[in-house]
Formats: sequence, C-alpha cells, structure tokens
Amino acid sequence: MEGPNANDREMSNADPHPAPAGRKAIERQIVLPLSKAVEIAYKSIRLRLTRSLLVTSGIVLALAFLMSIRTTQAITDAMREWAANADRSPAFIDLQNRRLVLEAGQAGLARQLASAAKLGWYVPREVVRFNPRRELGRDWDDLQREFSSLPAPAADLTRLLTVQSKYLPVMREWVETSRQLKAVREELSSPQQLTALMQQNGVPTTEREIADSRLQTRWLLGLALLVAFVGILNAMLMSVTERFREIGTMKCLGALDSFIVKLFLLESLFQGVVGTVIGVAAGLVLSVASAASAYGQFVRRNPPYEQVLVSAGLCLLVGVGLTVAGAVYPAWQAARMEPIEAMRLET
Amino acid sequence: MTETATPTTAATPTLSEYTVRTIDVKRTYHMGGEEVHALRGVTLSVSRGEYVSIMGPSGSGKSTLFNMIGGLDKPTEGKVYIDEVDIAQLDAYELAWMRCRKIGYIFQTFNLLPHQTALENVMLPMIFAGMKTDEAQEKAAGILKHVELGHRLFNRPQEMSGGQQQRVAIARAFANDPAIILADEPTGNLDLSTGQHIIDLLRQMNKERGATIISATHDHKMLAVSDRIVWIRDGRLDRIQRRQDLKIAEGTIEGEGGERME
Repeated sequence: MEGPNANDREMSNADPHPAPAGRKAIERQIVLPLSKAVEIAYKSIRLRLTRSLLVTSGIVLALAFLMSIRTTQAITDAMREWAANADRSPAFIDLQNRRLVLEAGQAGLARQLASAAKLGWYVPREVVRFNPRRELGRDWDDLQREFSSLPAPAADLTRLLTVQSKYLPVMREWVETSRQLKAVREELSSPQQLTALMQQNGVPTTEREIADSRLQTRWLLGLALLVAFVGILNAMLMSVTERFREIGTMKCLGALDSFIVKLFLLESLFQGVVGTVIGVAAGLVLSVASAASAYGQFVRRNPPYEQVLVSAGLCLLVGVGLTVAGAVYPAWQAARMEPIEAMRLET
Repeated sequence: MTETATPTTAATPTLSEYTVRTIDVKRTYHMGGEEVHALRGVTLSVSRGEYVSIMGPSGSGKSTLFNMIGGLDKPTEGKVYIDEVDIAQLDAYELAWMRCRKIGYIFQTFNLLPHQTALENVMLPMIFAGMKTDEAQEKAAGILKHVELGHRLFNRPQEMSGGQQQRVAIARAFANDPAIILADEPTGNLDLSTGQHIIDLLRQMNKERGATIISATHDHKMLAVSDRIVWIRDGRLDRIQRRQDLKIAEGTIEGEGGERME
C-alpha cells in the first residue's frame, strides 16, 4: 500500500522544527508524551514482579521504621506534655459538700472540669485557688491517701446487697458515690500513673536523656535509609544490565535518551510510591498499637494528629526521593548506552 | 588503497540515486592502548531499492561497516552519507529521527520487546515517530497481516516461534516506511526452511516497498537473492559481485564454502 516513494513523501511533510539548510532529509525527533513512558515502565514492573516486590519491600521496611520511630516519638512527647501539664493542676474533692475544688492549671483544667461535670459534680463557677494546707491543714499527699483508701465499688458489695435488701437504696447511693469518686481519683492520679508507666518502659525523662536517645535513633534511621538506598541502586543497576539489549533496541527504533531516563525514573518512582505508602501505613499502625498496649487509654489523652501528619508527609518525601535518587545513576547509564550494543550483545 | 564499489559518476548523484554512500571510511578503536584498525578506507555506494549483502570473516570489519551504514557508529575518518546527509553532522535528536524513520533494523536475535504484544512491538517505532495510537494500531495490524501474522497480533514474543518473531521484527522494521532496512544475520537463529521464508519475505518487501536492504550474513540462501555482494577482508573492500556473475549451487557459493565454519 505504501509505494516506493513513501520516503519522498515523508520528507515533504510539514515540519514544526525545520532542520537547518543542507540537512533537508533529516528532522529532529519529537519528544514523546510521558504517558507512553508510564505505560512501558508499568509493564516492565509487572514483568519483573518478583524483583520489583523485593525492592518495594525494602522500601516498605525502611519507611515503616522511619514512620514508627517518628510516630512513637510524637506520641511519647504528647503524653509527656500532657502529664506535665496535668501535674500542675491538682484538684481537691470536698467529700462533705460534694464539691470539686480545682486549682487553675493550663491544659489539665479544661479536662478536669469536663470530667467532673460528666460525673454530675458541682463545679464552682469561679475556680477556687485551693491550698489544702491553708484550707484544711493537710498535705496533698495526705489527701491523695484518703482517695486511695476509698472502698472498692460495686463488685465486692453485690452479695451484701442481695442479702440485706432493705439497705438497698442507701447502699446503692453509697456505691454510686464511691464509683464516681473512684473515677475522679483516677482522673486526678493519672499523670503520676503515666509518668510511672513511661519510666517503667524506659522512656527517657530528663532533657539530657531525651537528647541522647534522639541522637541514637537518628543514627539508626540514617543506617536504615542508607541500606534501603543501596538496595534500590543495586536493583536498578541490575534492571539496566538485564535490559541492555532492550534499551539498545529502543534506541534503534528512535527512542531519545530522555525517554530511556524517564522509563527508569518512572519505574523507580512507582516502586517508591507504593513502598512508601505501605511503609508509612505499617509504621503508623505498628507504633500506635505498641503505644496503646504500653500506655492504654493514655494514648488517647493528647493525640498528636498534627505531628503524625507532618511525619507521614516527610516520610513520603524521603521514600520517594530516596528511590528516585537511587535510579538516577542507573538511568543515566542506560541512556548513554550506544544502540550498537543491541547488535553486539549475545543473549 | 581503496577500491571503489561502483564507478562513481563525476556529477553529484541526485537524492534518489543512492541511499547510502561511504567515502574512504576508516574506523580505529583503541583497545588497551593499542590501535585496532577495523576499517582502513572503504568507499561504497548503495543504490535506492538495492538488495546488498555484506560478507566477510569475523574481524574483517564487516560489522563495523554495517554499523556505519546504519548510523550506529561514526567513522574516525571519511564520510558516511545516508540520503546524502553526512551522519557525522547529526545531533542526538536528528540521529534518533533518522533511526526512527529512515532505517529499519532487523537483528539476528529478533530483539522484540518481551513484555509487549506483536502489535505493540510494531507500533513502537510509529509511537516514537509521533503517530496517534489508533492510527498506529491500524497501520501495524496492516503490516502484520502482510507478513501473515494477522492471527497473532496479541501474542507476546515468547508465545511465538523464531520464524514468527522474526516476521514481527520485519514488520517492525518496516513500520515507518524506512528507506533502508539493515538486517544483521536475519536468518542466523532460524532453521533452513524458516530462514528461506524470511529471505523470501525480505525480498518481497524489498520489491513491493522499494526499501534498500543491506544485510550482513553468512547465509548462502541470502546471497542468492542479493543484487550485489560486498566482500570485506582486513578492513577493506575485497571484491564486489553482482548476482548475474554469481554461480550459486545448492547451498554453496563457488570458492566460498568455508564461510559458514566461523
């Protein structure tokens, strides 16, 4: 269907970039749309799925590590901050008048007011600055001990209640009161509990310890990321070596160097994005789960949403940047290869 | 000491007369501080629509000459003109354009992209040339039907026989209606009858589409259909035979029976 003069017709085609005079027969090759490179890169990943998965899992591990370290740090910081602020706002329960007396703290105050109101306690409009020694002639420790010695609620008394039913209403009120008291006591004593838990878990508390442990984790993180980077570099170099002939063939068919570079960078980018997203999710889930198992309900007291989001964003940048950086050299090596290699190489 | 392939006319040939001209081409490689003279001055002209085979033992400079003609290598000295354009003057974009539209490559090892179907393989040069996908699809399917592979459009290379793969490669080489087809041992990996089939197909495409075919080969079946055979020895043109001068017996050529032993 194409006549022998197809070639002549070709040359007479209008050319958006006219070649300089004297090179009438040759035009400049067009730069292909990115979508074609995306398509080919995607196919090549699917073809080499096992190795792609290995590379991706390396990225997943490194990024899960990074994300979990950062999330754990954010959670610990948030809890530490909560404990510190809560400590500074003690409260006192006036048992006779069912009155909750609060001293104005910063963050803890609002929470205490809220929980007291939930329990049906009277919360004075103006928060009383309460000094137990001046008001009652007693220490905080003393008061704390009084709370601690309140009887255990319902469970232990159930038997008693069923036997002596005429005392039921009285007992019920008493049980209810003591249950409420227990809740308030827990609310009040929790900062100390949390601090104890954190110490028990070996979380550094002093400024000095915190700085030391940060430095240590930074080293570990650096190593993990370096290992991931070398892994990616190695895999991409293998990918290039494996495809010398394919690359040479494509160049023979008219592929530009930039197209080959795009191909390898995109291949790496796909793996980087998938690996990073999975890694970030895994790291987040793992660190939250481990914090929850260590600190229980305290994790929910002051959840560091913002820091975790920032961390996730940072991890995405690091993960994708790392993979793309690992592909730059191999891609460059692939692109500068002469198409002649396609002819020369044996199998 | 250069032999001229065809008696060059004094006047500059018109664009349509020669597709490839080499003028006193020399190529020197540096290997471990030693100079290797792969080509010591070759002057050769190939006419439009001609079917030329390049013959020569390993190390004769055959492959080097072949690569020069295909714009895959640049001469150390001398000039290579493709369609009267000096390829040494071309930049990367122009070279890519030339490889895409002017030259179709056929390899001994087929070199199809393994993860792409026959159709996609043939479409690739068209896509590189900027053709729209559906247009390319239609044209590629047409060429594949022409090489009798209309029923295998959506098969991948590994699902096809060697002969079928090489036919896909031929279809791909013709994708952008090139002026020159460069075939490097196109029958080297095929059995006798399949090889014959490929040679017939190349000859047929050569006649129908008017493309110049230049092949490096050891296959005597291939020589039988060539218009000219260029013998290279020691980096120089040894001799040039025209088909009418050849005496071709079944499977051998007079005096050159040892060629296949390499």
